This record gives sequence, C-alpha cells and structure tokens, in this order.
Amino acid sequence: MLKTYILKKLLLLIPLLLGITFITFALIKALPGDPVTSLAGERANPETIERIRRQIGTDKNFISQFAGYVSLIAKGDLGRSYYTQRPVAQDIAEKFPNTLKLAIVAMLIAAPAGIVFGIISAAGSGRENFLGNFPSFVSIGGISIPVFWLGLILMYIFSFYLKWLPPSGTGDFRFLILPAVTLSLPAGASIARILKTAMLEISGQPFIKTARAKGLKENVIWFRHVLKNAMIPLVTIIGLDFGSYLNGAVLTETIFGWDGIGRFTMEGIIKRDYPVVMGCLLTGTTAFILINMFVDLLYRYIDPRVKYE
Amino acid sequence: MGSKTAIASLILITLASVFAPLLTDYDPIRIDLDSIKEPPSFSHPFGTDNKGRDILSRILYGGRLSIGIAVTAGVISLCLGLTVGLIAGYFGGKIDMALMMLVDLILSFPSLLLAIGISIVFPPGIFTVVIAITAVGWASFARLIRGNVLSLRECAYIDSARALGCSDARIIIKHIIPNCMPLSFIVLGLKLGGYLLTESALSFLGLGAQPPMPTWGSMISLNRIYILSAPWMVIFAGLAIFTTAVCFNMLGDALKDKWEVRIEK
Repeated sequence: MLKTYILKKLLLLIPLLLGITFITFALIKALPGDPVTSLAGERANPETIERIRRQIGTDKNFISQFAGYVSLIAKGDLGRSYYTQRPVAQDIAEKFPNTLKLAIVAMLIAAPAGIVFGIISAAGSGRENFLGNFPSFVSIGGISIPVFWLGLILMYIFSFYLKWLPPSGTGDFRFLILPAVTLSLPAGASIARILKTAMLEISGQPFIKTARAKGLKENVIWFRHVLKNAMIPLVTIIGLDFGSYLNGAVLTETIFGWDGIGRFTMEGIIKRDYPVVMGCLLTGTTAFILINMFVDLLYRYIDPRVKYE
Repeated sequence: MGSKTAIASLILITLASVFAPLLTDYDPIRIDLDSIKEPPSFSHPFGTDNKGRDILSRILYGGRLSIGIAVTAGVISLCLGLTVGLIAGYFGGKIDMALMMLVDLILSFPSLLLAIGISIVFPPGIFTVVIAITAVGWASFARLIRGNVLSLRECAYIDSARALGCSDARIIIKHIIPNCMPLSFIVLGLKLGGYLLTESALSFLGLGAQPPMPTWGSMISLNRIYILSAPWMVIFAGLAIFTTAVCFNMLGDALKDKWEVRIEK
C-alpha cells in the first residue's frame, strides 16, 4: 500500500519535472537579451556572433532547442556553462553539498528554537506581561530583519570584534556557523508564528475543554494534546522552509562567500548563462518536490487518520 | 497596545521621510570631503559616510524611496491580484483554471530569484524594483482573494441580488469587492514588511535604485566594505529597515486579529 503510493508519486515526478523544465526553459527564452552579445562583447563582428550562436545552439528554433535539452538531461548531462565551458552537472555536484550542509545546520537551529518560542508564545498569549509579549515580539523581529544586514552585523561582532569565527569563505564547521545562524533566524521566526497560530486554534476546540474538565494538568494538555495536533502544520512549514533552502540562500551565500547553489544561480541569471540557470533551478525544484513528498509520508506517522490514495 | 505603538511609529517614520528637508539641513547626495567617516556626534547623530554625507539625512531621504517602493508595489500587487482573484473566483471554469495555473507557477519559483530574473530584464532603477516585486507579489493576493470570492459567491445575498436582476458587474462592484476589502488589507499589511525587505535585498544586490540616490538597502550594500572602520555606516540603515518592517508586520498582525474577532461576532 505505502510502497505503491511512493512508487506512484515517484512516477508522477517525471511528467512534473518535464513540465517544470518546459516552463523554465520557455521563461528563460522569453526574457529579452541575448547571451551571445554579452559573450562576444559589444564590438564583435557578425561572423563571430553567428559562430557563437551556432556553437551554443541558439540559432535553432525553440522546439528543437527544448528537445535537445531534454535529450541531454535524459543522459544525465546538464550542458556546459557558456562562460567557463565547465559541465554544469559537475559544478552543481560541487556546490549542492555546500547548500545542503548549510540548509541542514540552519534547520537544526531554526526548528528547535522556533518550536520552543512557538510553544511559549502560544501558552503565554493573552497575557499582557513579559512572558506573553516577548516571544511574539521576537518572532515578529525575526521575520522583519534584513538577512544581509544581520549577516554583516554577526560578521562584525564574531569575526572582527571577538575574532572567534572566520568572516567568510567555504570550509569546515567554523565557516558554517555564522551563515547558518543568519539563515535560521527568519525560518525559526516563521516556524514559531505558524506553531503559535495552530496551537491557539487547537486549544479552542471542544476536546481540549474536555481534557481540562477531566482535570488534566496544563502542561499535559499543551504538550500531549495541543502540540501533538499542531504537528502537521509544523512539519509542513519546516519542510517548505528546508525545501526553499535547497534552492540556495542567495543573500546569505553572497555575504559569507559561501560557495552554494544560490549564488551560482544568481550569477547565472545576471550573466544570462542559461545552462547554469536551468541546471540550478531543476536541481532545486527536484529537491523541493522530494522534500515535500517526504513530508507527505510523515503525515501518516504523525496522524494515523491520514490516508493515502 | 503594541499595535498602536506600531501604527504611531509607522506614521512617524513616513512623515519624517516625507518632510525630510524640514528635519535636516544636510544634503543627502552632495559630497562633503571635510567630514568623511565621522562617528556619531551631536551634529551628525548617525555619523557620516565615506563621502562625508550625513547618514541620518540619507536615511530620511532614503525612506522616501524604500517605503515608497514597498507601498507602491504593494498597492499595485493588491489591485492586480484583486482583479485576477475576482475574475477567477467569480467566473470559475476554464478561466479560473488557467489563471490559477499561472498563479501556482509563479508561487512555485524561489521568489527572490524570480525577482532577480525580472529585474535584469529592465535597466536597474526604481521602476524595475516595483515591477520585480509586483510581478511576484500579485500571485499571492490573487490566490487568497479568489478563495474569498469562492465562498462569497455562494452566499444567499448574492443569490438574491442575482434574482433581483443585478448584472455581474454590479454584483462584483457593489457586493463582492466591499466584502473582499478586509482580507485585502490584512494581506497588504502582512506583505508590506516583506516587500520592504525584498526592495532592500534587490538594492543590496545592486539591482535597485542607482547611486547617488540613497535607499536603505543600497546604503548597506555600498558601505559594507567600511564595516570595520565605520560600523555606523551600516548599522543605522539596517535598523531603519528592521524598525519599519517590524511596524508593518505588527500592523498586519493587528489587522488580522481585529478581523478574526469580527468574524466571531
């Protein structure tokens, strides 16, 4: 039952990815601007432009370009960068693990912190005291802070002033701490906000009143009844955030010079390096879909009432 | 309590930006080589930058662009999203399917990368930023408003309006749009903080308003290399973004809470 469900989902992945490839491809081609002019320089003669155009294949019509790209992907190839001539798949294979590492560490910080703050602010809501206001203020602050600025301030404090951590670059765990903390703050805050809303909604339901009426202790009610029922929105938001991290954290990676997918994609977009943009977006979307499939499967373990068709 | 403070601060920040020339004597653009990188003092409360310009004055003038862009993009997104959401939700069928496919497509892309992609199509500047934010932003308005219209469409008073012979246009304008307003303003309130952050992120990446015009994001971007010798050049512009975004988000939360209370009544 579960196996056929997973198999069916994985098979559905193929048309889905084909659709995404087509749309991304069409969008990129629809953008004005020609990669050839930026490749050849402004004063290139028409023959050079024609030669480059033939070389990278933009002289053919849209359908045959798309067909060419799909047959390339089918062979596990993502083409070569227009600029460096390096295979895009190889570049992504080098950079994706960095993005993944950053995403995992950031989520390991964001999820527990967000859950704790969410619970505290749900339990303390309605109270006009420090306990009631502080957690909601922290979570509003978390979604309002410009990440690039937070990154710079953390870099200033921990790298330049205290000299504890390296300011930027890609490397061992010490390089990972500052970007991960920077990235985790907005996600942690949004986890806290979603969890708070979900828990407050559940705490107003009749079965909680029953639990209170039969004399259960408050912390049993909050942890065993309310939190457990708020797990589905919680897992969903964690999955979505984690999935979006895998598309690369453009700003965080830019500030800390972290060699990940986000910066690579952005540079590709700005230079109109189409194979790079396509490859990155495809990798990111595939990862995003897989993560959300996994979240779908988790629902069953969280809530046995969930049925897969 | 908190929401009133937020609204008051928001009004204060906006007024301070609009009336910037009355509040400061310093020119935000003119270079003054006699006062380069001065730390905060009485004459320059937030210090000066590497070209001797008063940071406070640049923040006040920068607010015009930063807040102006966020609000403009928000209002245009709202109008576009409202139109699309109304058409999709009210008429349903194939139009609905096509429009929602477009909306889902936009929402499924990483939004900052999409905004970057759109902003490189046009020459960098204020309008490009507005276009980039709007092009991504209208979709979430459209999706939420469509849902609202779907439930409104089934209400008895819409049926009775139709039975009285009201045209579709009259029903939409007189009955549906006014009932979509609470949701529209809540979403607008919740989104403005995010648009302010997107604007500053695009400016930070060099895709926004171009120097010498100050925006909060570009002030951080241009001054980040001086963070060691003159941290105030970076700190205050970021605080301006942060404070304003907090106010926008608190305003959005307050609107949301207020509206939910009204539903229960």
